[in-house]
Amino acid sequence: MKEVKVLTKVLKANDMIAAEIRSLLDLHAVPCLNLMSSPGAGKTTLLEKTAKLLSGSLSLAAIEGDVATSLDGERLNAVGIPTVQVNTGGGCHLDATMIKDALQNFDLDKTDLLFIENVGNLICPSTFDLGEHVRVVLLSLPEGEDKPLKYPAMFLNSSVLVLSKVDMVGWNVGTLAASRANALKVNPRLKVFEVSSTEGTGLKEWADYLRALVVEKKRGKRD
Amino acid sequence: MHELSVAQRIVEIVEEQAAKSGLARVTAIKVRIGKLSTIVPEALNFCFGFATEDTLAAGAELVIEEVAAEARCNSCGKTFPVTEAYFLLCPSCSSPDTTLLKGQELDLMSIEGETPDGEKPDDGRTGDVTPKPGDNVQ
Ligand SMILES: Nc1nc2c(ncn2[C@@H]2O[C@H](COP(=O)(O)OP(=O)(O)OP(=O)(O)O)[C@@H](O)[C@H]2O)c(=O)[nH]1
Ligand SMILES: [Mg+2]
Ligand SMILES: [Zn+2]
Repeated sequence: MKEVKVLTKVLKANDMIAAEIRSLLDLHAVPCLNLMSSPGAGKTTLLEKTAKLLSGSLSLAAIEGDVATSLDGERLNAVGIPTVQVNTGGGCHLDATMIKDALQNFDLDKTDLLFIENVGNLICPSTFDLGEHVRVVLLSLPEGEDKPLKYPAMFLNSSVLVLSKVDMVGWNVGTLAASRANALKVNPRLKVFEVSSTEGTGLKEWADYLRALVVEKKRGKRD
Repeated sequence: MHELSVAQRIVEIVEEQAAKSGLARVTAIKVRIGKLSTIVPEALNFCFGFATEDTLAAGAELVIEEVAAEARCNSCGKTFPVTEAYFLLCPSCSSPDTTLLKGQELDLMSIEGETPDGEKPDDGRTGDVTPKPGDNVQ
């Protein structure tokens, strides 16, 4: 019998590819956001609205992750975001290899801002580094205010929270204040946006934040 | 259910390491899993059985060491367990400026197995090579 010390992160291979992706994006000064949430929290709708606000001034790109279909990819292409659809074929999350492959399809020198829409799932995607700069978790009001407490890893591993569908306040679907408080309890450092994609609430603040990310990244490259 | 892909990664690393160390068969695999890692030990164990089928780790035991979550307050300096009661908010001074120290581990610690002719370890190491809690994971 022989015991061999290994001491390695199980996801080391993924992390190494993610680090490669991050350097590549840095080199081209392209900030990248990884959008994660339960199915249906409003990721694609938010990106559609974001396109309306930003595509006049910035060139956006997206990688769309879904278990099956290219429906979301088609929605984003339809609003003018060049999008590569990735199907995981049952997989519950995107991994760094999928992003590395998808990136072949973009000219990063002509891209200002890259979005990754992860597979709708509040658990698994948080474990896989995709080389993004910002992890964004969406929590829609109808999901209920207890979700940050029940799925803490996702909130711990994100730096931005978009409280979505805030127009649905009044539908007796959990309160905005409690959703925000529970998320901040899990991760007090979350930067929070309250957004309704249908009514337009909070979209300006979100768009301003994205513009600032682009400016910051380009400045970082010049310095 | 990303436990299956995690189990497959474990098997890949194990095969690599077994080849390097001249193991013909792997009988036990030790992993360390943080409470906040999103990996459910039972699910991982279940998937591990499938992932090891027809590999040199077939039938190996997966030994899971769970690691409780712990954070340090950057304001008052105290270390505290991360629990559902307050998560990352310091229970002593209520500061949100805290650093998670433990709880997100997903590490492969060691493997145990048999060399082709049942010979003793040939790496000159003697005694216990079980990783210690303080060991650094690359
Ligand atoms: N009331 C309301 N409904 C919204 C809002 N945003 C999205 N929806 C609706 O919520 C549903 C799901 O929206 P999607 O944008 O497809 O959600 P998603 O997160 O991309 O979903 P998956 O990709 O399947 O995980 C659709 O019916 C949207 O019209 C919002 O701000 N308010
Ligand atoms: Mg979508
Ligand atoms: Zn404190």
